[in-house]
Amino acid sequence: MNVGPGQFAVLSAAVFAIGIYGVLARHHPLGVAMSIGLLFAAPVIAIVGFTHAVDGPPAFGDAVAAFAIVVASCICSLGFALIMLLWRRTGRADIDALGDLEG
Amino acid sequence: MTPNAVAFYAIAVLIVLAAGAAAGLPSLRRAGYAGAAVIVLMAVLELISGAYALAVVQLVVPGVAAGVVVLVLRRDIYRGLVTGPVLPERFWIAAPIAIGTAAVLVITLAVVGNGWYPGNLGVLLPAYHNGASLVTVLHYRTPYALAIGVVVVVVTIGAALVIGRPSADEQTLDQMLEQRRQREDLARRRRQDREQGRRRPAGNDS
Repeated sequence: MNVGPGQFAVLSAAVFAIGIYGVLARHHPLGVAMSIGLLFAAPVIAIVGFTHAVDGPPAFGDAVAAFAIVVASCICSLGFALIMLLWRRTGRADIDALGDLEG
Repeated sequence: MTPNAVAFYAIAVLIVLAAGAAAGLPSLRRAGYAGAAVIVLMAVLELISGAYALAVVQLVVPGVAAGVVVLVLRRDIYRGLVTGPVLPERFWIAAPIAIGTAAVLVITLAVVGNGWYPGNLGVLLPAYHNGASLVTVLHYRTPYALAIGVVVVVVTIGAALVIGRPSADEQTLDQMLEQRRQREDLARRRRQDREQGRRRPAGNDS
């Protein structure tokens, strides 16, 4: 039984759907940020599958995936920093607290 | 390199389980562990697929970012941020949407299999398909992507420092809160001493 890009794409879709569930269901901003991390991780799985599940040296796809990983890590880190700032300013760990921000 | 089927399916099941735990566990601490497991399992998946350098990137970059976040979250001021279980409250809205998305994507991709996929990126872009390693490609073929990645990391570190640094009004507020806490503590101790003095029998005064 061979593993092709289709199997990687199915796994990527499953992780993406789980990430969507986390973003919509979670009320805590840290949980939402972790779920957004899952949304970013899903395309990386697909890219790895597209470039490695066939024969040949696919370093260009690896470069795309590496760039995606770096950008996703940076975005999630900034999200965590903003959540900590929100916690310090409001003392609330709740997505609804974002609706009270003004300015 | 085509990955081994048994290893792929085993790791795929573990990735789905860990992702489900990261998105659905009430305890944020355990959800964080599950998220770390997803990162490690993705690195293992990349290893068995032959993307060795990418596996290192997958472990190092999110690992460093998560380590810094964990170190900051250990400070006293953020203690209330991660304590206590937080149940996903909008389950009934989120579950149908996620299941619908999963059904559309997973069933479609599973039914069509590999037939829809035209081929390797290297086939589409022959100039990049000559056996170069990831480091070589980043260095010589896509230096702009590498430079942009480095700039993004530097800007992120700077922005996180600016966001995380307590502002002047926060420092003033912290000082006021600390002084108030000390005053309240002193008043409480005086009150306790007075109450103990009233309860003490008159004959014991010596």
